[in-house]
Amino acid sequence: MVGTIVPVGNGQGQEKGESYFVLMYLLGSLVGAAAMGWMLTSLGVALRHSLLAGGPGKYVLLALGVVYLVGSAREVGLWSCPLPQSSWQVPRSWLHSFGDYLGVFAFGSVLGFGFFNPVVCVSFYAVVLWIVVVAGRGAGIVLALAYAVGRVMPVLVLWYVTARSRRSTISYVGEIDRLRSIVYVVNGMVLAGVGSLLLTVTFRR
Amino acid sequence: MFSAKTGSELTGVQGVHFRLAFSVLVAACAGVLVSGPTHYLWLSSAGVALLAVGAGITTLWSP
Repeated sequence: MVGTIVPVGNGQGQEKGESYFVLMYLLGSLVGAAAMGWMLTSLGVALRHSLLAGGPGKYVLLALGVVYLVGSAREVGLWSCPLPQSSWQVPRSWLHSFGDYLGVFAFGSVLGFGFFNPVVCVSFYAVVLWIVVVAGRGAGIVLALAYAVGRVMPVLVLWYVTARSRRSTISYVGEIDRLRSIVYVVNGMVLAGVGSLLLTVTFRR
Repeated sequence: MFSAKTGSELTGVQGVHFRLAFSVLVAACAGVLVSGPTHYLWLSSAGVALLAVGAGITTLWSP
């Protein structure tokens, strides 16, 4: 993915990302994420009104806590299982069809939506579950936007760093890879923390 | 597909980060248990927000 997004947002091999590409990618990601948040909260509101009597009850929170704890173990590599994901990729032809800027915007919005790309971590589904089962419409959209921010942040940092250095963006890939375990472990820890909290609340009720 | 190292396998800087994250987690859980989970929804939401950012970052390593 790094090699696709970087050089920033255009996927065409330019070494110095242009500010407008970054801006369009950022905007696209936020719009796509907002759409995901809106869709998931709509689904969640409908489910809660029809199945959960307006809100998640004790057993739903208990199940969510267990899922989070089990998921945290996968996140830190204690066990593995395949995750449902889409292997569809944004066609490169979009850049020609929509033009550079609109193509980058479309690229960002599809990626920001979250489901139309390979999913490599449990955390994504943990967030989706939370939005559907627990979050209200506003909170759901904020959480989806947080996902987009996490998605865009490394690209912004890379763009900023490479714009001020003589190194190519691809030369940073090795350094980015060294952060991988840290990100996964922190995700796993947070997942375990939220899962424990939900279990604690459930048993104290 | 990524295969994460387990916490015990991490060494050096990553090991320090793991221990730090684990300590913060244990402290947070202990704090919640002692004080009573009256604000669990806010705490959980904050955790999930952090998770959302982390999930976004991990897409860097998707195929």
